[in-house]
Amino acid sequence: MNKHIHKFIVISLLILLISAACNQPGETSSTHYITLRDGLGREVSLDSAAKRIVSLAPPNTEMLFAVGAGSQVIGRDTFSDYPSEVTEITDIGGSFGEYNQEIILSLQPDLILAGGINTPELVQSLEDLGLKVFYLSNPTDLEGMYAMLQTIGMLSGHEERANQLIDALKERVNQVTTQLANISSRPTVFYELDATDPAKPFTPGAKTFYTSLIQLAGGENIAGKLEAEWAQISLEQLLTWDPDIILLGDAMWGETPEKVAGREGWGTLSAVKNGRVYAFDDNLMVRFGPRQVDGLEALAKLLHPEVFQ
Amino acid sequence: MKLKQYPFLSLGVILILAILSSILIGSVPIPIQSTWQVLGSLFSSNRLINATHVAILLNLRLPRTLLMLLVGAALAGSGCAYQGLFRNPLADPYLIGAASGAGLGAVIAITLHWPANLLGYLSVPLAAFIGSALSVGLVMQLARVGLDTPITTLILAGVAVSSFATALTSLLLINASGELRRALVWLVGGSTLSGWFPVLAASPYILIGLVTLLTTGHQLNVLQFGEEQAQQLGVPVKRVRILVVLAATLATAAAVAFSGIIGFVGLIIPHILRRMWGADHRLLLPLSMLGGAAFLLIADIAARSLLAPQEIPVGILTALTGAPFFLFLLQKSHYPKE
Amino acid sequence: MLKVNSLSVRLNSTFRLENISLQVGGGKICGIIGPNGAGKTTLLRAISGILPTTSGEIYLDKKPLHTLRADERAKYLAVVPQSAFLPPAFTAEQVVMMGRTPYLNWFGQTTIKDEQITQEVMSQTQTLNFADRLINQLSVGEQQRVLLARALAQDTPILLMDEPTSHMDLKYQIELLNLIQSICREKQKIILVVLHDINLALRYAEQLILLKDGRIIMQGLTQDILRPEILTTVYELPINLYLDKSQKIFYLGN
Repeated sequence: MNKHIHKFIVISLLILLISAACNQPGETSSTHYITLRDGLGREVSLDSAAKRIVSLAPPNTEMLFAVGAGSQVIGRDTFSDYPSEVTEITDIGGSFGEYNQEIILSLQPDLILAGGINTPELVQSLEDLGLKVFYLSNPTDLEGMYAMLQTIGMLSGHEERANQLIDALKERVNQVTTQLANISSRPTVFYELDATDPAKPFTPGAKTFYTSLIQLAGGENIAGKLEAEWAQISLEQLLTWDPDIILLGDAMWGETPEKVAGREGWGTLSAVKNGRVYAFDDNLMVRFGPRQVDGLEALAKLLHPEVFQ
Repeated sequence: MKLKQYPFLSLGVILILAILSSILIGSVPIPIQSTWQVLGSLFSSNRLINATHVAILLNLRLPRTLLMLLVGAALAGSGCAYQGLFRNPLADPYLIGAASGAGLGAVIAITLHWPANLLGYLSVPLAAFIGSALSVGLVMQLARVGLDTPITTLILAGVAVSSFATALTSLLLINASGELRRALVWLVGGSTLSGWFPVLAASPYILIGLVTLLTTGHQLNVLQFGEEQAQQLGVPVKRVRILVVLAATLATAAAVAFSGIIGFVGLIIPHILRRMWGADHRLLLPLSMLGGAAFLLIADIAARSLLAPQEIPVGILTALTGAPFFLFLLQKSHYPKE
Repeated sequence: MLKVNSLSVRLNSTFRLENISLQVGGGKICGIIGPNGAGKTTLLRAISGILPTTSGEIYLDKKPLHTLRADERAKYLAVVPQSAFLPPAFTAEQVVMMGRTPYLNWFGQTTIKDEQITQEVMSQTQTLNFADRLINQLSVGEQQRVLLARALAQDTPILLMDEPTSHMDLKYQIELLNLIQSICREKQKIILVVLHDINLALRYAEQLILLKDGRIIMQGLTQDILRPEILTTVYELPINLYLDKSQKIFYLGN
């Protein structure tokens, strides 16, 4: 019986492999308007700037509008909400990770922008339907974000506008870093992502945008040595670290400095005692795009009020 | 009731209605005329059809309908087989570790960040399949007592392995952060792979598994008298058990690999059908497959339509039907009617 | 002739059956008696092949049965189990038809011959009048007759029965045993019946196997074994014999 099972498994694996191999679309070479390699390593070519774009993730939508391609967006995911005009655009799903492929198909887009939040399986099945998908991986620092802006600019035919935007953003960032050039100290910052259980809050670790933005704003992410993107620490650990500043990234879910002061055990933290607990709009950190520079500026003001009036 | 007389006819009709509804219902309204023309164009060349409609009907709705049909039949068919084999109306392919093994396999593949090309996107279903098979194999090994695999140890081993696999899965998910969403979506039965690929990939295994199961009807009937009596009547009990478990697991694993974890179908459908039409497995097995296919199709239609344009993963919907079903069973056992 | 040589069954380091050797011919019912825990049911289960044995051989004339696969063995040995678990879903006729399983293919397809045999044995056991009723709706006596019919449908030279008359009214006990006796004589079957009622053994069994603590104490003709002194020793109870005209009855003394 065992021998048969063996053979069976091998044959079935072979069948799966072969069918996967046969599933690769052929590429015809001709001169394209643009050919770029996307975040999944696929080469995507367009014959002209994309005019009918569907965005599957909020940052993509925001960036499209930022580079002036807003009128070319014909479909967007449920969670896209910025800028406000976006709500007028056809909703194509996206909660539970499921997008309404029928609606996407009926919109007849010439380009679909997928983001880090989308699965490779989804990209593949959209491609199988004959649609063109470009996957934009999540950037982890500002350079990555600029590259993303530039890519979106190129794909939508607004390369120049994108470059202008990038220059302007770089200028603002420069401003901030120059003004911070002579600071004497870097305050330690605890960025709270979630504290549903106040004894075990969540905070971003190393290699996240949070860490790099806090760094640029003249501070130091106190959880910056932790590996995880969403690290859960104990209250004890937080008390040991005793950060100078606490930022409430979960303010949009209702957390306030007053509530924090009332939490069991949190009263002894220096940040609480000195009143340096601030609500913070997490979207300014987490939605990749120009708003992150807004976020940087807001951060800098909070961390170094002495430099920025 | 007249309906009771013709189980195959009534289920067949329900199934056909479900198939038609599944093809006709979707977020983009397509008039029936159009649908007919598109389907007709498969057999003749008709250029007067809307290209988008063609894409939607032939590349989205048709394969999805077939997938749900196959998955529903696989889950209910193997559920029926397990219930017959274990002589336990609550037995279910998940009992024996098939689902949790698949879940673990899938999450491992996801968190290992396999590249999204060629094998990449295939890795998840493949890993789920392997996880499922390994899990069931482990359970059968653990449950062995000498040369035998008694049913009580089988169920205990199944629960033990399932719990372990689920715990490992949760552990991986906690550390996954970035891939968390992808993993969770898969686990709740979101068919993240649409189009023709999942149907073509899953169907050979599901069909082989189900056809094999269909042949075991008589053996399962005799097994209802207990393994001792069955053996005394000449049934090769061990062989039947291995065959049923293998075939049912094959079908279940393939189904789970491409549609995530969809519960309750394997439990509810055979149970209801047994109440209505008795436990002759030569009938119950094919009826369960028909009923499971119809049920899942209907659930999928609901999943697509209830919150349009949002699509609820079908696993969540079937889980919702589980609660009232068990409440109903509870009612019946509190107030048994003679 | 059924021959068993040195059959032993071990469970958790105790011998449930130790070195059982016996010979039973056809045409005469062979009763298996003995106190509780003697291993009577174990013996039947071991002979029918569902219990693993540590040693022993079983022969029907020259044919070895202990090496046969289940489906082959079932053509030689049929069992009527004691108060069997009966699934509610089948009719009496369906249950009897299952006795034909050793002769059917994997799919259980039946031929005219199978149907004829089924009808025949049901007629013999007087179970035809409830052939279409679900088996769990029958009385214990009726169920027992159906199980006997099933075993007969199996068409085997050897029939093993485990206390077939327990839970039955006396009237039906007699009916059933009469039936078994006539079948035994008619078909010259080798029939082993576990009985716990000594008087029934006296009345219906022409040969006996007396078991105690997993061993055979005596085997042979009923009149030689059913003696007060032997029974008293084996059962460890004062058992007396009452003789009246041509009737013999064993009863428990003080």
